[in-house]
Amino acid sequence: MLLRYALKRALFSVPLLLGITLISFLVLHLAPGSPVSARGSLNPHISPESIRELRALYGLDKPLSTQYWDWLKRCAGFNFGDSFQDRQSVLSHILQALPATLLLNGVALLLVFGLGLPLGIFSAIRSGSPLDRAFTLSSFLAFSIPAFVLALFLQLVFGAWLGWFPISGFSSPWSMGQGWLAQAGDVLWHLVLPVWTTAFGAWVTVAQYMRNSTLEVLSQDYIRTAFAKGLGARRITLRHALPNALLPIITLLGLSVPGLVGGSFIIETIFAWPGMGRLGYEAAMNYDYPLVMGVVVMGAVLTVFGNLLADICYAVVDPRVRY
Amino acid sequence: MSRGSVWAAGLVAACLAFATAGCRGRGHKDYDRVPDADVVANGDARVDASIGDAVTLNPLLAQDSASDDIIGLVFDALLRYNPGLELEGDLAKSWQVRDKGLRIVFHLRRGVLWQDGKSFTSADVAFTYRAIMDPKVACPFKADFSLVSRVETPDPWTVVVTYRKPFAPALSAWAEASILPLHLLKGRKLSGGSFDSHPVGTGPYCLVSWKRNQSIELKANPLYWEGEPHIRRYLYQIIPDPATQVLEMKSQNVDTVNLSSVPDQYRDLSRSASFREIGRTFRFPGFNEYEFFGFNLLKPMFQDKRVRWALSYAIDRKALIDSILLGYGQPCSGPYVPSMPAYNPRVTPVPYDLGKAEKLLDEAGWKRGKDGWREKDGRPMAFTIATNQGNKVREEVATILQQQFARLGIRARVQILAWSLFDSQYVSKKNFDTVVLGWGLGMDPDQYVIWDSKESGPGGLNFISYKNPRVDRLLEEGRTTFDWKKRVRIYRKFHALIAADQPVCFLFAPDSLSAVNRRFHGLLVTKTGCMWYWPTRWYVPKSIQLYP
Repeated sequence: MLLRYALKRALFSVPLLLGITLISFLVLHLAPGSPVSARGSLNPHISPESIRELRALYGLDKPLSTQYWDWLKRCAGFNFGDSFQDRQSVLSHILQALPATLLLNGVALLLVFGLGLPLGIFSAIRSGSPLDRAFTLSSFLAFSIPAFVLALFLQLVFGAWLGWFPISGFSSPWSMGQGWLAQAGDVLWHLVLPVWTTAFGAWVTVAQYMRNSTLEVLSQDYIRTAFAKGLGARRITLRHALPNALLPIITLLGLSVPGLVGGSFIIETIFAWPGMGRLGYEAAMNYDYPLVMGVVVMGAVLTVFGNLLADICYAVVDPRVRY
Repeated sequence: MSRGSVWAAGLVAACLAFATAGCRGRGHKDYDRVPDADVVANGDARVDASIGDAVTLNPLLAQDSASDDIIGLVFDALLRYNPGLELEGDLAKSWQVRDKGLRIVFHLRRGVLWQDGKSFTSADVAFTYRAIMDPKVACPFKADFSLVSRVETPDPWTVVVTYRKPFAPALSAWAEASILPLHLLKGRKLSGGSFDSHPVGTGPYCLVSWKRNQSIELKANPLYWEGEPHIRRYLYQIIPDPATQVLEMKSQNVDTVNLSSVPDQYRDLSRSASFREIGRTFRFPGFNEYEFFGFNLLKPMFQDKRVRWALSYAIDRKALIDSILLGYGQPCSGPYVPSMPAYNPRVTPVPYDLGKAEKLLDEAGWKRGKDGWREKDGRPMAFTIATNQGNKVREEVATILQQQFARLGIRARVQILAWSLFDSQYVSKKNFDTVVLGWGLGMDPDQYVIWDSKESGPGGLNFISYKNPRVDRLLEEGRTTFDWKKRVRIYRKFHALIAADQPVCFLFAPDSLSAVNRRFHGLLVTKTGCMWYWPTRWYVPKSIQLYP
């Protein structure tokens, strides 16, 4: 029964994905300009003949429908084509940028939920106490600090002044022979400041979410009943309230999946982090159609997948969901 | 006092303590007192910061400055420019121009080795020419070689290039074309192959590793024909944010930065007392790159030379430079900037003179109406100033010009357009009144494609439709004259003619701004830059070397 539901949902996402790629493809190609004009126009050293040659080389002289069909056919075989810029495969570009982004966002996500959930629950149980109020106030303050300000602050204090963490970069320069353990430690050391910047605003959101959800559940009749039956407060919160309060968090987690690979252009730029945000942005700025499409498809697939996962999780944990 | 505010006060106090403690970074030695300052030593490394990563390390495909930076260290060309901005031999020891410029003979340097130990010969040069012209390779500078009819190699040390007609910029084209190794590329894919990321050249540095969007690591080439560089390692760090670059520079994690695009960062750095202990800042007049305010000469209003001159007098160039570049720029008088040999020193930038501007406009019939705005035959003096989006400098220039023209009673409207739209719908179709744009040109003074009347067709770079038979003649003469002194005279005449016509108002050339860590010695600082011949000249005295 559950399997059929999952399959049905998966099947429905195929036309959705096709639609996303079609619209992205059209928007990309209809935007004024082309990879050729971005590089060749108004350049005294590039002749009109070279521009024509470039167009033919990129296949931009074919009709749009043919270009889309060609692209779709290649995609079916997991071939996303070659980047216009350096003729390397789109997949290799993505695979080079993905690990850095996955690492940064994965660790940040752990931090966000690991810190946010307990804090939210805690402040819901102590709702109205000075601690809860201090938490609510400070979370709004934290939430209103823009990422780039926080990034610069962390760089200045912990990078330049104290010298505890590297100011920027993914790993220490120079490809010297080090053990993999030392290299992993080096990357983790570089990870500290960008992770805090990424997680800072988000864990506050999760904590508030969790707090409200817990409060709502705690006011339900069955909780009052449990109290009336004389159960201990600890047992009521952990066994009866918490599982129900966690349900909305599933949606939040599902929605975080595409964010895992999306990458923030601003944070990656400030910290010189070689991730997906910069890859996608620079590809778009250079009209690198195949690369942009590759990034878009990956984002779309993961968004749809995240939603699917959340729906299935709901179906599993919440008996009220019918399928 | 609540507990929260105690925390806050504590945090503020802690931050203040850090602030007063100053930059810690790497413990640095006193660079003012170096006992072995004059002893040339090998070792150490130079860490360079770049905003963008290289796109490719294949010289046939490179178009961006980051790729050029690395390719310039790995490869050599036949010729190169010296600090006087004149050509000198690189892989070619000498060269001769024969048959009135139809034939160029290069005499190659003997004993040059590729980084893999094989000998460099004339066959490599001939192969490079064939690779540039290969129809399967989208080489951006093909046009520079389109007049070549034959490349011959009578012996391993001589290359004879024959042209269909004399073409003086050919020499500068050979100075920009990196010579490729025949033995590694023969029968291989010239574009999209492994050579794109694993280049082998004859230059001072060899590639060690390239981590995309992170760094490119090079090491000194022990076989380099001018001798192995003293600085044994070179790292090109990709740091997209200039503010982060400056922070890394102050912490001595980065040794050289180029701050030409961020004058505010440069100003802060050059005024920082703590930075002066560890680094030097350099400011040079920029090379051949300038911004201009151009007229569409097909519009009747701008065909009147008096109107063009009036608008030029109405521009306060110093105010533009001070407000937009924070003073780091030079006013321009014509199509060459002061550091170029072709610059005509007798032509001065147009002074700011509202009185003259008013007078000229009155003479041209554009008189002030009752409301103070100018008009002629009942038509108001109004036009648009178009420029491309994303270039802060040009957007600001357009806005300031609008205000400066308003003082003269002229209504100008600013149009900021996405580059592709600006180019395809406005500039290429000559569908504009005036534009704010810039030209970045090579070292060769040839500007045929920008000013010759034959280049004013659709899609041509002479989109302002400038036509002057005397200029056309000079440009043709300059292209066919190989004698450098004669060429300079021709282009100085051309400079004066263009300045007199004011087909565009020449505005300014931004300065080139950079910073270098002070542990480097042996810098050759001339009025054109501080990086000249750095691979062979720079060294770090043993006592202050930073990297093992």
